[in-house]
Amino acid sequence: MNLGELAAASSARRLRSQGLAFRTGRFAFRIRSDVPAVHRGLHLLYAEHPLVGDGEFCDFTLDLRFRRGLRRWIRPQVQLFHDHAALFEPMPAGHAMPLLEWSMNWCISATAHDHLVMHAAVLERDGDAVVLPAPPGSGKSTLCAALMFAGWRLLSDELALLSLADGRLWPLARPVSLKNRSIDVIRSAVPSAVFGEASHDTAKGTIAHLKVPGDQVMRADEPASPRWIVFPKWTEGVPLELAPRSRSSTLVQVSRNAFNVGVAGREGFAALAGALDRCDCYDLRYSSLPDAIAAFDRLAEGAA
Amino acid sequence: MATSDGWRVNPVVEFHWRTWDDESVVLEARSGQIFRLDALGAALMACLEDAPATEEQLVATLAADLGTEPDPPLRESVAAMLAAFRQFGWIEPIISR
Repeated sequence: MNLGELAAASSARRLRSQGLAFRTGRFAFRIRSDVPAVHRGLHLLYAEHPLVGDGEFCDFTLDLRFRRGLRRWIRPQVQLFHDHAALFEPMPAGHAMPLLEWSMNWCISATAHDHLVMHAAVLERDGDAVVLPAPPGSGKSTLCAALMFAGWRLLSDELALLSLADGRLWPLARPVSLKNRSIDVIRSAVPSAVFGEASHDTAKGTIAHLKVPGDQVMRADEPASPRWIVFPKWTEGVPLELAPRSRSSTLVQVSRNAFNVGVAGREGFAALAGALDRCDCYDLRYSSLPDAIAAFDRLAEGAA
Repeated sequence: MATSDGWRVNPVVEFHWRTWDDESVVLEARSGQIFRLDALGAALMACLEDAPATEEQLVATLAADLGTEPDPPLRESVAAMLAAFRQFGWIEPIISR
């Protein structure tokens, strides 16, 4: 049964009490919250994610609740607890969904040490995965969202999980976090795209989460083999350029984008190097999303 | 007065190498440092991993491998790399008293 198959009243009751437990790829989260926006966000954005049965193990339990006292009513704040410990400072109640998503990212990146966890988007076509490592502001998430609606299956927009055991990339299929102008860019490019409520005035500006198509969520247990590593950089007005780069420089750059490279140590290094043995690596500069999508299509065609 | 008898790999470091074409990447596992080295740098570390050596011996070995003379540019490159590797903590001088 999927989360969206629960009646809204039932899921709201569960969320306030024993929690809503659902799977996202290899991980099971139990979320408890008294914040109505969190209920609306989960019910919409995680509608196709499978529920975890009562009594089944969950990797992470998160409580996202209104602060008590003055801050419940005046400039209300929320705070998130992981296994009863506060993860972050309290935040405005209007930032509840971004706080939840950031916390879910933190849980995975801080503990999934049977993977090399890289700050990167990952998408797949025909079993081959493209990894898009990029610092904030490079246009990675916008590009990732556009590719998700252009024949590529989303594994993740934020965390690339490279298994140390089998060298494959494992999906999360969680909502794509878009900021500021990117929200309108994707709304215009994909009128059928489903967004959660926007959160304004966050540290990153306005954030809205984009729902992953259901058919892609249903494949969240299908890994993919790394085939390309592409460093994207959106710059206004530049012509498209897809330039090959060396595997050695790519390994160094990707390791700098990995949250747990120190913990993963020799195994992580070997897994990443093994992935690079099979990958072609590029820098991508672009200003037009359709042009960038076409470039990725050509990569996929070349691999076929 | 103590003098240096050459260089050796720091006994506490642990290197893991990967090479593609003429570039290598090395993980120093105990510190987690990851560096990219060109062929000359990788060859220099490979020499020292085989056995301690003086700077002169290293220059001679690398010159022979490259099929060139131990000229000033090569000497300068070796000296600069040894200084860098020492700063990383990868190598240490052998001191005799």
